[in-house]
Order: sequence, then C-alpha cells, then structure tokens
Amino acid sequence: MEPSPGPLGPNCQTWADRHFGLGPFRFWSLPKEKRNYLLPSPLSSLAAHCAQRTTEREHRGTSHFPSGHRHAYDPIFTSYTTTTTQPPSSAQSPTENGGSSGRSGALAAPPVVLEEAVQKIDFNPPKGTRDFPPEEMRLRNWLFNNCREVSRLYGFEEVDFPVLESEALFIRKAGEEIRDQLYCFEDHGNRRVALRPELTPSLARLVIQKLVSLPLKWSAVGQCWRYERMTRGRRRERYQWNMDIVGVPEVTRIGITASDVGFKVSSRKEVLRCYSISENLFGKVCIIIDKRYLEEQGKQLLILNNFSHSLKGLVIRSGFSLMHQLSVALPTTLGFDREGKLRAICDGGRYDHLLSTFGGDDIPACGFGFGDAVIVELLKEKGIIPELSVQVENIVCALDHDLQGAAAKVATLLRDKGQSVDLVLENKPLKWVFKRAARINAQRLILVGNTEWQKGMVGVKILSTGEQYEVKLDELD
Amino acid sequence: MPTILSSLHILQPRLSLHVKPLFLSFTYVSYFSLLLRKFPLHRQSLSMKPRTLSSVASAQSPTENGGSSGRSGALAAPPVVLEEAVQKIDFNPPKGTRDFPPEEMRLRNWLFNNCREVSRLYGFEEVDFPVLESEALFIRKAGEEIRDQLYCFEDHGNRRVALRPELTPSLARLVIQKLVSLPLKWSAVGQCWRYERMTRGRRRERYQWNMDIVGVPEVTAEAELNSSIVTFFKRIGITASDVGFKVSSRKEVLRCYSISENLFGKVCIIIDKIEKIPLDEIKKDLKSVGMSEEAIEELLQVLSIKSLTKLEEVLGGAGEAVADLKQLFSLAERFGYSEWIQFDASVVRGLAYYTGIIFEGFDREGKLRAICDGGRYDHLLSTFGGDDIPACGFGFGDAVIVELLKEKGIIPELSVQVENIVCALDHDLQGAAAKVATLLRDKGQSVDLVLENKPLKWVFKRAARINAQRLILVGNTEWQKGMVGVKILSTGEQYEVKLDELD
Repeated sequence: MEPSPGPLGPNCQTWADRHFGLGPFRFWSLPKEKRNYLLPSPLSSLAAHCAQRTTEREHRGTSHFPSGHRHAYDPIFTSYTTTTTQPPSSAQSPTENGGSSGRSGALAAPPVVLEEAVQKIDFNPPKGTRDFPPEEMRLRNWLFNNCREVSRLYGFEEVDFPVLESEALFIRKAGEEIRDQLYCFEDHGNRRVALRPELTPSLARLVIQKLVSLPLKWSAVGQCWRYERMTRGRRRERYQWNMDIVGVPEVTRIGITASDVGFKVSSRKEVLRCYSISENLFGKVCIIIDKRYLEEQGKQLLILNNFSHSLKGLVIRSGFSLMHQLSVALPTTLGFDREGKLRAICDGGRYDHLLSTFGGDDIPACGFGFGDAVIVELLKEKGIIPELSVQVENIVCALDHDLQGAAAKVATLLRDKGQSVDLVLENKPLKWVFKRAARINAQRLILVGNTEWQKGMVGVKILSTGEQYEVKLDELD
Repeated sequence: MPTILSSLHILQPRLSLHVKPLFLSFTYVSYFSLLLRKFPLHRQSLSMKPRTLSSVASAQSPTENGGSSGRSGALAAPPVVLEEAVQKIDFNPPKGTRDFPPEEMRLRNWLFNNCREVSRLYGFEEVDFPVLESEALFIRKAGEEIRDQLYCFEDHGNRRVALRPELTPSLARLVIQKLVSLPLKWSAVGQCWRYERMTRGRRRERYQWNMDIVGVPEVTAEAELNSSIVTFFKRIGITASDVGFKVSSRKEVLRCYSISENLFGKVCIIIDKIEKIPLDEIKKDLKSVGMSEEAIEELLQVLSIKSLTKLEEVLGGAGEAVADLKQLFSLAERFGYSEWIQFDASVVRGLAYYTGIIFEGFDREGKLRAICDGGRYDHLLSTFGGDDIPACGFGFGDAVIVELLKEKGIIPELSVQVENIVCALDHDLQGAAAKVATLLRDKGQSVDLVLENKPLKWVFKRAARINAQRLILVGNTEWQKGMVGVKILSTGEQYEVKLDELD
C-alpha cells in the first residue's frame, strides 16, 4: 500500500511530499488506511475529532447545508462518518476538469484545514493590490477629500454601490478590453458575480432602480478591480472617482453641449487647482476630444475658453468606443506634442444608450472616471506630493504608575473638548515619552505628577517652545 | 434553416463559417434563431469570436459538469456574450448587498465621519487593506462560524482568495510586514463579507470600524478602547441607558479547567453559542473536546456569574483574570464611563483568537444583536508566522447601530444642501452662467449650475429640493452691466450685484 510517488520522485519521504505529491483530491479519495499512513498523528486525531463532531451535528440536524450536499462536497469527513457516500467523480481526477473544479467557489463546504497552510501566510497583500499603512492612507484621504470637496462645490451628491456585482452588468457587446480582464467567479450559490471594473454600470443600475427626478448629479469614489496577469506589473485594483450627470441631453445647440464638455474641463481644473498645480503645468494638460464628437457638435472649442483660462492644448483623436471620448491627459514631453506619449489621467464622455442595454429607458447621461494611480504618479513627478504628517495635539503621560487613572481622566477631559490626545498607556520613562511626542508631532505634553495632582493641577509643556507651566485641571483647554 | 443562415450571412459573413458545424446538432438551431430574432442592427457589429461560440456550446449542457464547473472562476476565458443575458439585468444590487443612494450615503458618511473623528481624538492613525485577501489568512482551526461563511473562491490564477470577513487578520499581517515602532494605534473602516444562505434574510456585507492597539500588554489598552466606543456613542446621541458593555476575561475563567492550548479556541466558540443552542448540545460539544463532566458543570456555573466579587470568591484572588478585570473597572471610573460597563462571565465571543479581556456592546432593551465586540488577542501574530505582540482591538459593525438609532428615533436629519443655484435666463447666457458658477466655486461655495434651458418655475422647484440658500440669475440686461441678480430664498429678498462683488 505504498503511496504513489510525488513530484520529487519515489525516494522523497517528507510529509509534504507524501501529501502534496498526490494532490489534495486524490489524497482524500484514498481509503482511510492509506490516508492515516500519510497523515502525521496529531492531524489524524484532529480529523477523527472533526468527523465525530460532524456526526453529532448531522444527528442534530443543524448543519447549514442539505445533508446530501455536505457529504458530496466535504472530502475531509466522508470516509470517517458512518453514513458514507461516494465522493464526487470530479474529485478523483483534478486534471480532468481543468484544474480543481472541486474546489472552485461553487463549493459550499468550508476550506480544508491544514496546519501548514496557516503558517505559510504571506505578509504582503495579494498580488496586484495595495495596503495603506498610515502614510499612504493620509495621502489617499487627502486625495479623496479633494474629490469630495469638488463634488460638493459642484452640487453633486455622493452615492455608493457594492464592489461585488452580477457579472451580467459588465458584459457589453462592444468587445472592450474590460471583459477579458473581468475579475469574475461563481459564488457559492452558483451565481456569476464579478468585482466591478468600473463604477458607471452600477450607477446606471441604481438610476433605473430609483427612478429619481432629473437631472441627477451623482459622484462616487470606489475601488475597481481587473484581473491582469502579473507579468505586466500592473495593479489589479484602483480607486476611482466618478462624477456623472444624468438627464441632461446632448442638445445640438452649442451652449448646452459645451457646458457639458466645459464642465468636465472646469471640474478638472478645479481638481488640479486643489492639488496646487501651477499655471504653467496646467497649460501642459491637454484635452483629447473625440473627433466624431467634435464633428457632430461643431464649434465647441470656442466655448471651452469660457471655462478654462489657460487651456493650451487640444488633441483631436479619431477612434471611438461606446462613449464619446473625452480625456484629460498629460504629455510626458515638455512641449505639447500631438505624437507624444500621453498618459490618461482620467476620461469620460457621454453614454446616452447605456441604460437601454440594461433594459431601462434611455436617459442621456455623461460622466467621467478619475483613477488614483496616474494622478499620484503625476504629483510625485512634479514633486508636489503634500507633506501630510501625523499630528496629535496632546500627549498625556502619568509620571507615577498609580496615576494612570488620573492621566486617563485628563485625557477624557481634553477629548471632550475636541482635542486629540495620545494617552501613554504603559509605564514609560520620560525619554521615551519625548521621543514618541516628536514622532506624532504633538504640540503639548501634559504630565500628571503626584505633587501637582494633589493640588488638582497638571504640568503642561509646549513642545515647540519648551515653555512649561502648571495649570488647574478645570482650566486646562 | 436556410433563412437563418442567410440572415446570419448578412450580419456577419465570417460568422456563418463557424456556425455551420454547429447546425448539425439540432439543439443548437433553436438557440441561434432565438438569438437572431433579438439581435438588433447596431452600428457596432457583434464580434463573436470562435472562443465565445465554443463556450456558448458548453453553456448548452450545464448539467453535465456538475453545475457548470466549466464556468467556474478557474477559467481564464471571458464570459459568454448573450443578448438575453444582457437584457436580464437585475436593477437591484446582488442579494445580500446594499446600494447607497444619496440619502443612505449621507447617513453612512455621517456615521463614518464620527468614527474617524473619534479615532482622531484618541490619536489613532487610519489604515486600510485590500478587500480581497488570500484565503489562508482566515483559515483557523476552531470551527468558528466566520470560517464556515467565508466568501472564498479561486481566481483566474488558481489562487484561493476570499473577500475578507473581518479586518483584524489583515491588520496583523500589516503589522508584521511593517515592523513599526510600538505601541501602534490604528483604526480602519472597511467593508467585510460573508456568505450566508439568503433564507436567513441576513446581509452578506457590512461596514466595520476597527480600532486596535498593538504593543501594550496592560489593561489600560482595553480601557482606552472602551472609552473610545463610549465617546462614539455619546457623539451620535446614544446614552448609558440605551446601551452597555458586558466585560469578561478568557484567562483563568476558562483556562483553569485543564483545557489544552489548541482546544481553547474551540471551547470558546462552543461557549459563545450558549444562548443560541440548547444547553445539552453545549455539554455534548464540550465533552467531545475532552472536558470532564465535572469540569463542564463548574465551567457553566462560572459562566453564569454576574458580579466580579462573586467571581473572585469562586476563582480565588490569585490569577490574572480577576486582577485584570478589577483594574479595568477602576480605570473605567477614571475615564468616566463606569455606568456603561458591567461584568458578565458568560461573554466569550465567537472568535478563536481572543486571549484575555473581552467585551461586547449590548442593547439594554435586549432587542438587538451585539452592537460591537472586542478584546485582547496576544497570540494572533504567531499563528501567522510572526512574533507574538500583545494586541487588543474591537470591531464595530454598521448594521446594528443604525437599527438602534432608528429604534430610539435619533437618526439625524441629513438633507442635501447646496449653497447656490445659478441659472441663465437666456439661452445665450449659458456660458455667462458658467462663469458665475466658476467664480463662486473658486471662493469655496457649492453651486448647482442649471445646465439646460428651463423655465423659472422648474428652477425654483429644484432650488427647494436641494435646499439652496441663494438663487443667482444671469439675465441679459444685468449681464450687460456686469451684474447678476441674487435672490435669498429663505427671505425672498432680491437684489442685483456686480459680478466681482459677488461672494
């Protein structure tokens, strides 16, 4: 009853080799005796224990799943329980179904528990995604706050939608790149779902659902996903800021349509202003307008000047997609160059017929999506990433261990007055406290010492000047 | 059949080449004719690549592969393009998820802003992590409900991933990765997911506010966290008479019953179900993890204790649990929230990794589920392969708190509010109106610009709807004088002003 050799050859006898050499499903489909031989003893007793609990649970009838289903897809427990059923044939040959269909998201069973699996945790976020430790989070919040402020200035209302949507929402007929890179899968209920690649379809869905009074001016900031092979080194997720106007039709009269276009231009300008991009830099930003759109609209360019004082570049691009394309991009070369390489900062346009593809009535709509990647790159290149350091107003510290409670009282008092307080929670030397105060850029250090506290007072030190004084607790502010 | 073929030929000459072999099978014919009938003549022709066709073919026999395994997430092929599929779009968000139209979004933002403000007041720094994480991060051995409901799947690269059910493991991962200087006070607000059968009528996603203190082994950390929750409650209008905290400790209370390390988590999970499943079941489960009859009886006795003094009697003065709890209660008094917290030994919570003090926010009227919960988890990082660092934190979901606010009738009135509405009285002045809007926006005022040619009656209606304070009118005569008309909507007062004096 020798196990078949693993990938490392018949002479390798490590546990991992014996286990993984077989592949997970062939392992579990072996008879109990073979499996016990392969498992180290603690795990086999764990398996036995789990099996016993399963029997008990079945007995009770409180399992989540219909029992037949559970047995069929729960390879860990099948052979140990008295009521054995055949494991599904698909489990026998993982290669037949194109790579572990038995463990696809369609399964309702919880994942297999392995001791080693728990210890092989990668500390990095999944490939193509980002963590946001405090420094990055501050930058992101600053960016989003600017987006939200612009939305507010333009009288837009913020909305949001689930990051997981039905896959059908993103399948369109035009064969765009979006479909091939859709991060889709089948959930436990066999429904095709996808992590959204863009926000506009969700917005369209919400508009039809809500039947709101038009025109509608909605903005949203959300994370969007795409599946890309990592060889390209591109990210799989990004945050996107969308602004959409629904219900304002594309009228041929110059003034109205230009205000749509100009609106995007001026809102872009507003955004760039918020980032303190200097005038001459802005001049290098050029607007790419779809040629066909221009032809249909006539003399739009003149009107654009009303909205942006220093619009210096205009690139007419032929090429067309479902949307009339309007992009704002920055040429990488200094001079304005039509042939030059352009990085799209954001893009948008009109999409009057999207709603009907969803089964609703067509409502004229236009909007843009502004990703967080290029703009941050841009700010870095121009060296204008803002200095956003952590900043806490007070750091409160007890000089004696018994005064920890007193320090807490002081902290609460200041917080009730709206001041941010970092409370030193452990018994630490003053040197440590000063270091921490420097790190969090605290303005004041409040010291709670025995003598002062008995008088109902605390010591205050202004960290920038070094000034130090005592103050009564109720006068502290 | 011939008619179908010829119409196919008109629409897409290449298509017929691929389609012909398929017509040999009778089942496919009706499908394609159906497709054609609904196929509108579109400027953009439908590009049906051969690959798409073959996946259409496989879609014909979904039963063969045991539930469309051919279309599982493991495949890299793009999904099939079908006219019918596109038109059957459900306008509702996916089952168990929520949309946030403007009204709901305002409430959510208000809630989150309060969370962020409390984090700021306590000197915490905000962080974030991906909503999609490796499944391995959430696999724990203790049989928690959270694992059974994991929203996991396999991505295109055959990696097992999951939509996170909670934020703490991601935080632990980030802490190990960053090796930052301690103590660390981090807060996060993020969406968490679980897969539940919809018969239960529960949501599959929720937003959760987490606050964690890493690197402080003392009870002061738990006290600080409790205090922050109390601050939050006060900010949103909840009082000590509405909610409270039940506090207990997992140390000694559970440890003294000779439960081995690796089964400790499991025992806690079982105990957590005390009010959800019959006592006999609990006893059975405890027996199966190796506890003796006596131990079980004693444990259940201890769990029913509601006062700290009684606990001390039963457990004895020595041991950390009682000492920790006493210190917590004394700090609570100093922080100023004693009236909010009480000891209750039955609180263990359903997460395996809590090791010390645990607490749970509850609704005093007993109608709602736990509002929030947290505790100390000193050994989580080692399960991930890092060094153990003492840590504690809490998670606060957005569902129950909103329900609570609704019950108490204290959901805030948050209406939309735009300061100005700018409108051109003549169609040619649209550009001028835009100029006025830009001017006001540059001064930091919010402006709703009327983008179309609309009658004044409509404009007034809209102004009322968005609660605008002022209506700015751009009319011909005024504009020629370099002026605009301003109407204060609350008073009805109306006057003209020079454009450069407008503010």
